[in-house]
Amino acid sequence: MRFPPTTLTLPERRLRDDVRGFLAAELAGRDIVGSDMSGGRDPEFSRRLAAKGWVGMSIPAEYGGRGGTAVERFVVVAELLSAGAPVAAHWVGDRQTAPTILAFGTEEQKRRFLPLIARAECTFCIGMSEPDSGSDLASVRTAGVRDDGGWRVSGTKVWTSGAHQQDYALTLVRTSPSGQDRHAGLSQFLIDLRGPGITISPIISLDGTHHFNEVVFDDVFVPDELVLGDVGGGWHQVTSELAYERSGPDRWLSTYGLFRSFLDAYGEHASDSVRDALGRITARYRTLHNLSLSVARMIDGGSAPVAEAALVKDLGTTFEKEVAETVRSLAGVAPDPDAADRFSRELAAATLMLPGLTIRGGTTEILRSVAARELIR
Amino acid sequence: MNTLTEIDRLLVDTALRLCADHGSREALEAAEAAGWSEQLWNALVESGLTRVGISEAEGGSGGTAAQAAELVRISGYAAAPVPLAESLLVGGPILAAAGISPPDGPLAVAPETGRLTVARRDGCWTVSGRIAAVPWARMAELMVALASGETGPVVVAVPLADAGIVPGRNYAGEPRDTVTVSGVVVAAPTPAADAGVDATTWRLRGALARSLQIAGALERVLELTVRHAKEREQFGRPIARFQAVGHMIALLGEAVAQARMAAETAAAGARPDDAAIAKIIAGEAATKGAALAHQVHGAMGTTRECDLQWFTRRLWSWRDEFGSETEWARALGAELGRGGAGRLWEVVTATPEEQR
Repeated sequence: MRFPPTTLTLPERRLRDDVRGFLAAELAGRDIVGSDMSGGRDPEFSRRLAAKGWVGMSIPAEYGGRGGTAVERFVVVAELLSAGAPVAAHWVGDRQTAPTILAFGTEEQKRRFLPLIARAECTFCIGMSEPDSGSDLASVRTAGVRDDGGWRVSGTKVWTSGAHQQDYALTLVRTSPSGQDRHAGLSQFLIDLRGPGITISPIISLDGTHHFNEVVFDDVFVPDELVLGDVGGGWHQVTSELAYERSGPDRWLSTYGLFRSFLDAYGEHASDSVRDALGRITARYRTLHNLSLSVARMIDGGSAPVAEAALVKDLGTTFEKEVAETVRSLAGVAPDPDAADRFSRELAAATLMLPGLTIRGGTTEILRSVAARELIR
Repeated sequence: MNTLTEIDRLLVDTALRLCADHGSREALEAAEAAGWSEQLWNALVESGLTRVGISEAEGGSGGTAAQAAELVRISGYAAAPVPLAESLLVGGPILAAAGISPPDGPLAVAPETGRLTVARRDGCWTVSGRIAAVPWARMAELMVALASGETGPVVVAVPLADAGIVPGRNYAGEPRDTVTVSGVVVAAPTPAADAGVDATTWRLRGALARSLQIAGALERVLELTVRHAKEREQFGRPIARFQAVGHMIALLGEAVAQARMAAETAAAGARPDDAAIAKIIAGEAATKGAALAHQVHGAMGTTRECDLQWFTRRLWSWRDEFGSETEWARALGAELGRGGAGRLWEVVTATPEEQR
């Protein structure tokens, strides 16, 4: 396993500076807590970002994007998250639905959806997990039955981020019974969440916020034109979708906002232990940034660094938690979600989010098994 | 940097072959008893590999600093018992910048700065003082040091024939000697600024060298550990098939990936932050990686009979040399405390060639 070091080209650095300037103006005066991809949702902000060409960047120009690279997206996303920008509306469409439609969709689907994603006018969520299917994704039971001109879908999806606000769910459905090959017989459907037969109920997170949902499909009709890719080819599609989901800056910046406010509050006149922590944590951020960038460059080079991405996601997500616990033990304040003190509020918000960081998008245990398989091969 | 040129490949292959030729268990044991492998050193000198990265005009073999860094990483991968890191990345380039041709023989580098004082007496320059834990002093002709001159720091090449040397060693038996000089006559010293160094960058050069060695050694440790896990059978199957063992190997892979990325990033650019970061990351990775590798190796790994020890004893030594993680982390942390959040994000995202 090799992570070739790479650096940003001059145009990539200019892009970074442009995004930095845009965000400084956009976010001035906003009270931002945290730096998580699901932290804030502001469709108007997403549309202004899209107007700059920074949503769905990898979409080719003929479908309304700019034909950008994975590295360009890396640059934009790192700036967005580190600044705590409200990215939740366009996040999933930008990160994984657009690349999946581009790779597997029909010409008609590309013309219909990609320009909307690039304008942040159509939003998505992920329909993978179910009450009885978490890490073992191939065991999904949401079923599609053939009907005239399409499929009738019944079943339940959970942890569906933003289903109550987003437009479509890219949903993994079993379209033929599980035989010897559990990975066969799965398909991906683009399901309109505002259509009939769909019940969306909130699943409240530890911090009391409504982010996740349970989505029940009761005999929902999905026309053939919304089947994504090959019927029965869903497993292959969904695993490549997961590769986009891993190793990006969203996997190591979730507690960056907390760390920055720790630096603001305790950086000056710091004790030896605080200086030690500041130095070690910054060194880790720098190194994760470069590993994550290396994976993006490998993707642009045409390789499929699946194990590398898993390894970086494990490193990044365990690190995000370490950051929060380290600054907590050094600061010694009583966190209060409603405190006037900024650091106290950041700490409260981060702490209640920590358990999920090493679960979403592939647990620590799954990731280490993926990385180990490659290393031991 | 992504793709090795043909010349890079040739250098790497030559270095690996020479290290392998002199890297048998018997050869490494003999080298540890003697303090080093003179045969390997001579073979490297003959191939011109001890002066890579220094131009021919300055008495080197030509080549780039990146090639020198890659050779140092390989010397760690091979646990090569020779002062290649000090010659290629610290003493050699500093001497060259000071206008002094590096000698054929091994070069010692004073790890601490300001411990020696240079004075002018009867028309000649003399140096006095005492420095502990000088790598390879007993086999070197010259020790390069950053000394206190009458008007500021100076680079000085101290002939060690006239020095008092008390042998010392690190965990791996590499010489770390105490050098005492009293009125030893030296050639005219070079002002530090003219040689492009100060007390911090001096230490950072050493920190980068050790980081690259650690990255190389960790890579070898991962190879040895994977091989062991596939060969060793317990409960009727190779232990690599146990999930608990696989996960330790994944964590070891993470340590390797971080150390190498941090060291190569620092080697590719001229940012002082990156060399400090490399030593912090490599030091942490050395600790974690060595512990994981030993846990997978079980009781066998705790003996001198197992090859793992050539590497882990070096990892435990190198993490503390030229500044531990704590030393560099405090320095970086102090700088960030002054610079605040803007400086933080700049350090995280800088491309290596961007200067502050």
